[in-house]
Amino acid sequence: MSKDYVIKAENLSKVYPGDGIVVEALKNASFTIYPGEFVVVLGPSGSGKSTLLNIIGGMDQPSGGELLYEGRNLTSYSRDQLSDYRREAVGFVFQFFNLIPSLTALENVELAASMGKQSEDSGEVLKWVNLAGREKHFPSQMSGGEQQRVSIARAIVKKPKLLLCDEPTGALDSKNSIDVVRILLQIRDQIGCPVVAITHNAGMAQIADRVFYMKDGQLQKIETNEHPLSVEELVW
Amino acid sequence: MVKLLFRKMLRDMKRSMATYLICIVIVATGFCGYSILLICFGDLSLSRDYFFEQTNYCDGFAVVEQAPLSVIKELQHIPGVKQVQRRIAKDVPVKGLASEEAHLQLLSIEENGMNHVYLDAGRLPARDLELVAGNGFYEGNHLKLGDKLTLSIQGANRQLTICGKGISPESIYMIEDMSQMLPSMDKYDAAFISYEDMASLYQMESMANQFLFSMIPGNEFDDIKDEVEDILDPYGVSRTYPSDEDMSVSVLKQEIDQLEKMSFAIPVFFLSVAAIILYIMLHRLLDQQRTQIGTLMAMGMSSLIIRIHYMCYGLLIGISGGLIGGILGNLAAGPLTEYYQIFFQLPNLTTGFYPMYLLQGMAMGGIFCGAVAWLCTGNVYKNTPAEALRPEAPKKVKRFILEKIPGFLSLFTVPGVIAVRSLARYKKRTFLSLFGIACAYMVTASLVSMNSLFDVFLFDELEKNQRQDISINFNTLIKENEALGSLQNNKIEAKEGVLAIGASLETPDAKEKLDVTIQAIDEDATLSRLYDADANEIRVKREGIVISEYMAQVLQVRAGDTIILKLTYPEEKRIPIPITDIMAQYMGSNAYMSKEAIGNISEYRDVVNRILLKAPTDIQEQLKEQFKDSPNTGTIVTRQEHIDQYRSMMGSIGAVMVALAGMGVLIGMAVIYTSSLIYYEELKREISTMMMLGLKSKECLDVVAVGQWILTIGGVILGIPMAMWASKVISTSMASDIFVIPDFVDAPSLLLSIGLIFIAVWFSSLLILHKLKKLAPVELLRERE
Ligand SMILES: Nc1ncnc2c1ncn2[C@@H]1O[C@H](COP(=O)(O)OP(=O)(O)O)[C@@H](O)[C@H]1O
Ligand SMILES: [Mg+2]
Repeated sequence: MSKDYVIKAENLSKVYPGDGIVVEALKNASFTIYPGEFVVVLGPSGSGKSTLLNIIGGMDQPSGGELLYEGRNLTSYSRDQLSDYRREAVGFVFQFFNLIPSLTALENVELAASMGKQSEDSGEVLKWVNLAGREKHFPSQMSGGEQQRVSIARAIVKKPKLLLCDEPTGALDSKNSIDVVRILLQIRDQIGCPVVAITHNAGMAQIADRVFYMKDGQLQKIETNEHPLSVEELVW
Repeated sequence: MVKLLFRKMLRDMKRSMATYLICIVIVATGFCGYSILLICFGDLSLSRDYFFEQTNYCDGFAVVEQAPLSVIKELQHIPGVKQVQRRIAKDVPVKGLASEEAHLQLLSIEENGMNHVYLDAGRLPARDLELVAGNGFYEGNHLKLGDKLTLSIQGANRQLTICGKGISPESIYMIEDMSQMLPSMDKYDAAFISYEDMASLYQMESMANQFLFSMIPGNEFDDIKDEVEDILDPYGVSRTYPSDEDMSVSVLKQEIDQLEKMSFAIPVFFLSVAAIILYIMLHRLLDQQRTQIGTLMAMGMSSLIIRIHYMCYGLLIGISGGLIGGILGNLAAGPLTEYYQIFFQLPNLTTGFYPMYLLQGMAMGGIFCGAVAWLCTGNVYKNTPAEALRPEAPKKVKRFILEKIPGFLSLFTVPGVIAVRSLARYKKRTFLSLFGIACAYMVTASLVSMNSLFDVFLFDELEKNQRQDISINFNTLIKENEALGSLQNNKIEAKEGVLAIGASLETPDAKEKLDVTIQAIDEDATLSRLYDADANEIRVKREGIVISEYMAQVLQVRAGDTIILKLTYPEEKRIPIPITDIMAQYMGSNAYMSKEAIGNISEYRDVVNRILLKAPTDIQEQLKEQFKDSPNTGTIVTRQEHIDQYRSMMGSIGAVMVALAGMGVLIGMAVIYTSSLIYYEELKREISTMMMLGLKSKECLDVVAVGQWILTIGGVILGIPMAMWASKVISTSMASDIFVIPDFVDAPSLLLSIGLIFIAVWFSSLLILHKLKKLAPVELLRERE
């Protein structure tokens, strides 16, 4: 594996001050994410997976530890700098798609494209995720699987350095889930950007290059799959 | 990106079009009023300035008994004076017209001189008994050029030929004294005649009874008043005043100024109501779009851009409202200007299209609504994207304060309880809706009460204060016992003489000054009655003066203080005089004294110029016959004629008021409808659950309606003091020397307005019910955002 990393985290932690009870959502997580790898984060609900992803994606600041993105220290970033980081480097895919309901499929992608510096053509990207012909449809006129593919197109149109997916198949049936996974693998293979995907589904772990196991806010272990399965072999 | 965000905004707005449209309409109404009034103000001011310039209107007047023209030289030497012009002015009865009281104010004019007449038709008078009649008189009496008018001059009938018609600044609004509110130009108007004719008609060759002054720019007539008075003192100077104190000119000025004053209040009010609705709506929108905001942030859009995006919602509403309002205002200003034209008959009054007001409306509306939206989005800054994307922690269900009252909740059905709790949950919104409804109530109540205001005027003037059936007004002072003695008719139940003279009141330090009419009455007068603010009757005393609340306020004095009474006849005199009482007076600028009191301090002893009678009105004809040939009798007016005059005024203004009150109700409906709509949207999920449990749409309506009724009742309770406050503000801001508006909100108007607001609530319930009937519960439960 290449020594060059995209993300390098050292003792990351996150504490949420609630009323009365303080929640330690993330405790001393250290890891690295390399270019072109597919990482799956597995763990029960409430174990801190989203917290971890949000911090990597610059959506939230860690309470402690250090986070490096290509050598730059994200922990010292201001809100505006984090915003720039998200715009330039990170693509997000959410469990519930989070498309803008009043924009069409194409417009949703274009909105993201307009924010990137060297974005792909939005229409081409939609074709790439097999949505040719659906450009003019509003989110409410599309199935969950289609919406998730729009949201993937939106995430990758600006050629991110890092694609983060929080339970991307969580709201989908098995057929649609497999489609989404296939596309995520294509992204890794064809674009070369690392994909980090949270899932509850142990099956998905088998196709990953590496698997992060989380429990109670702790990154318990990191497993490397020497022989990841292909999508065709995947049983959902 | 801008294009896409703009599209998003338009589509978002289309989804709740009704509420945004309401907002736009309210903003538009405000700016419509604003531009109407300002356009009208501009038209009238322009026309006035043009008119004053054309007629060469003077800077000051001096009125004397009679003075030789040689005095002009002396007057011209006063530093600052540019020019002095002679003038003879006389009131003269006109015989043989429909109205027996018809009379004209004859004014002498000079070729190219000051206070010239603006000709509407015909030509200027030559020196052979020709005159130019005032437009109102000319038209009111259906006269033609070449007609002869019979004027009763010094006991003799003289024939003068009408050679033209026209007006001058002094005859825009001709009223004989301040107590007459509306001009009736067919009975009293100005007429213009050459100085030479005038002098020979009145045997006043080389004499004048008025002098007109123009000043060298940079000098004020007020500054030379004392010098003028000194010079004219030997000739019985009665009044010197700057030209803007002329009755007609000052009425015009006050009307025009009032337009400008109101033009700023109106948009402020409407914008505040729009702000409330906008704030409620955007708050709701931001709640709804929480996830969208989080997503945009996650995509790396800066909070600033997101904030600007939502500010644009307000901006768009404000700009379109301002634009529409400006256009409507431009369209509607024409008719209003014409309405004023009925009163003022200004020449050369034109109204155009003023794009400036569109721009102003758009700018002001945009800035204001944009600012409201900007404030609304303050929270966007605070969240990290991760927080924005987490579903908001459900608000704790709070108990409504009123729930503490034992048995309160048992008043409601289950849907009602949901409604009550949701009011408690969204405190800010509840408060804003409450305030919005209170505002709507305030407008409705104050406008509805304005209508009844005119009855107050009428009642005050004609029922409470003036009890006579007939009043006889004389042109000069006559001996009281002779005048009363001449009225021997057994139908007359009571007769009382009144002396009405012009005077001014001053504070001892001469800082504040006010022109008033002194009404001298009997100490035990029964036909002129005075009341204080608490409606207790007060009487004039053997010494001292009774002034109105308005005067007391302007002069900053109280009962018991001493003020200076300034009389100008037969010579200028300043007399300190105690204020015995302060009375309520809405119209006119009358201060009351006893005849004895005025007789003790001046030459006005045992004389009157007005007689009030209590008698059946059928003796009016007899009286007219009796006084027909008396040169000193001006008018004989019955109570009914007085009332008719007021009614005609109310008729025209009443229509405007009804329109305004209707607007208040519409605003009320708008606020109530938006807030119901928002509650409905909020409670949609609960409602559809209830529908699945088998409740009918009507029962579900309770959820919205109960909340709405609680808000409405609360709003009205809050609105009552607000309406009273508004009436105070309106009355103090509109008070002028001529009339004072009382605090006019009364119980019937308050009740009527409650009725109107309730109708609005009921109506908006119907609209919501319509929505509920179309609601498919399954769809709703599936929908997520
Ligand atoms: N903004 C927050 N405020 C308070 N507690 C939070 C917040 N975000 C997450 N948590 C808590 O942190 C823990 C980890 O949450 P999360 O990372 O969302 O778990 P996962 O995604 O694995 O289900 C949970 O106990 C959650 O309740
Ligand atoms: Mg999670």
